[in-house]
Amino acid sequence: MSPFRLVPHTADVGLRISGKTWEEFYLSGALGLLSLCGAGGVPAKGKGCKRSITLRAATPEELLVDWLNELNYLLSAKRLLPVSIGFEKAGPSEVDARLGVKRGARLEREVKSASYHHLKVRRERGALRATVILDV
Amino acid sequence: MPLFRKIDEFRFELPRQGGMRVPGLVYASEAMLPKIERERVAEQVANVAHLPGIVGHSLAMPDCHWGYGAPVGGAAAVDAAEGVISPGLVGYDISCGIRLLRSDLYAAELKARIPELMDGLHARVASGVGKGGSIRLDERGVREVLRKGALWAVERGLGERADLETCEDGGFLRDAAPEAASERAAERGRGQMGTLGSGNHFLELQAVDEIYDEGAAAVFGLFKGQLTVLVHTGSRGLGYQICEDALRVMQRAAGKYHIALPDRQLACAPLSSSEGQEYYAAMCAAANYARANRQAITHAIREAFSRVLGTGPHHLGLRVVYDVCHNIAKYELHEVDGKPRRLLVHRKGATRAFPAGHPDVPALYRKVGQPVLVPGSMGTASYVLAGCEKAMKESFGTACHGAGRLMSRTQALKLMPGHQLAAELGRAGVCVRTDSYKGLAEEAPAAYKDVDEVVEVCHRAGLARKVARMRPVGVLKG
Repeated sequence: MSPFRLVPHTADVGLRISGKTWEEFYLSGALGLLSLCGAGGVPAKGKGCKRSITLRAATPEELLVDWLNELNYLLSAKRLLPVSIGFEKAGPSEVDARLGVKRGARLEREVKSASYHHLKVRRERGALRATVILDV
Repeated sequence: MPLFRKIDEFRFELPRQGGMRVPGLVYASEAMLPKIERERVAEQVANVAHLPGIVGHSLAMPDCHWGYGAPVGGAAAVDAAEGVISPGLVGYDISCGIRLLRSDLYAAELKARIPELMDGLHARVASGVGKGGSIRLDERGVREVLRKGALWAVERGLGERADLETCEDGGFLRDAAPEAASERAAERGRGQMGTLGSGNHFLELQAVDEIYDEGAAAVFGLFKGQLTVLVHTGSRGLGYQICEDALRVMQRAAGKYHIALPDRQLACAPLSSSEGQEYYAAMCAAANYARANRQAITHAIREAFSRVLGTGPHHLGLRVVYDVCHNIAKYELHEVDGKPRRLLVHRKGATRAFPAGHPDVPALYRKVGQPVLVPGSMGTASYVLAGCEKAMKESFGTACHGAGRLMSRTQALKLMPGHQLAAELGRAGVCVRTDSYKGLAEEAPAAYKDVDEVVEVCHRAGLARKVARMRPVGVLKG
């Protein structure tokens, strides 16, 4: 089963993500965002480096939006393509991730931001699930 | 059971229910309504009607469609003293807008040179995902842009003072506070000045093919057969970041000020609060970036024309007809229940449309009303309208902003591949240049509503009257 699914939206794009654990859940979001941006390929000659993302938020919804926006910032503003993601901590109110990234990310699509529109992180059928509308 | 109550041929009311503070009002034809109802636009119009301080109606223009938080094509006015400001009701691409340039050229006479012109424009106007512009700014430079908007570009030699005379707000918002933009926002603005971007942003060469109002067209400098240039872009990554920063703050503010809303994307703060004022100042700064961006692109267009046609821009008559945005919140004076009232009018995918005589209409156009620029899709017409008095009375001086999307990008991609679409448009006389055929396919004309119908509703409902119609002859898509 794909860890994410793109959901049609008239003007934008919905990203349906899921995971049995918080790590899987945030990873699902990251993979979905990378796929949506068309950033699946690794720049072969891109120089590698490490990045950390440490986030705290009052609710899992805010944290999910922050997580996706932070990744989007690395991709679209810094042109850094995540090639590995490891979690030191992952939960409903905090994420502490270590990323291996390569410079020179080439994107097919620009994502403006993740929105809070009707966003609800819920546990359903043994997995964490959410649908995020992304402005593209 | 129908959601809307028919008022007349083009107005449908969404009655107050639940926590709605005012009713909703949708401008549409009977034929448009089923799609609007299916798309849950009513739900989003109703959500906006929950905003504290909202007056009149929560509005949706004829090009409205499902958005996030608010519908695209939505507008709402709140009392300036008691109301709130909502970044979600402005959108991420702050002050995204349209600029129309006219020329002294006839499109038919240049038909054979359109491909050359498109190549020249493609080379000089950075477009597409991740394409930086030729103008690089340091942080101080970005903050100068945020303060001065299009004036910054003109002072740098990227245009003339006369360009600003026919821009909304004279090309920049004086309420901007450059320091209100975060460091990250400023960083994102450093390399994107003079860039078109991707998605639905475009640059088009168009030919005026119909004049509806000879008097107003003459005042706007438009004539039949004329070659014009239409540009659609906004504040780029800087604007997205300012909206993103503000939405995070507003999630807290909504709780702090006990504001309950059905959708967190509409999170807001009182205008009088520090959170509200900070966002307003930052939003104005982002709006200035957008206006400078369109001015810098104007300069690149003039350079491309001059190089390809071998003559200076003055001989070509490339002048700004108007520059107007469709994602913004602005303080305006309107009459409510017979009394003048200062309001903050939020427009998300909706265009200001002020009538003749209004002091905010450029002096040159004050006798006929503000130009309202309505782009269609790359295969259909675009329109120049003029603001009407009725819009001031009913919609806080607001009209539509485009055709409005009809289908999702996924659906659009299934219609036909981008290469095929470019070839079809070419056969129809539209010369296409793009950096992404996939992106082109997502913007297929069939993915949009019928712009003629949208404009007809605006015209017949009295929101804005038709002045001229233009057909695309060249399209640059990011």
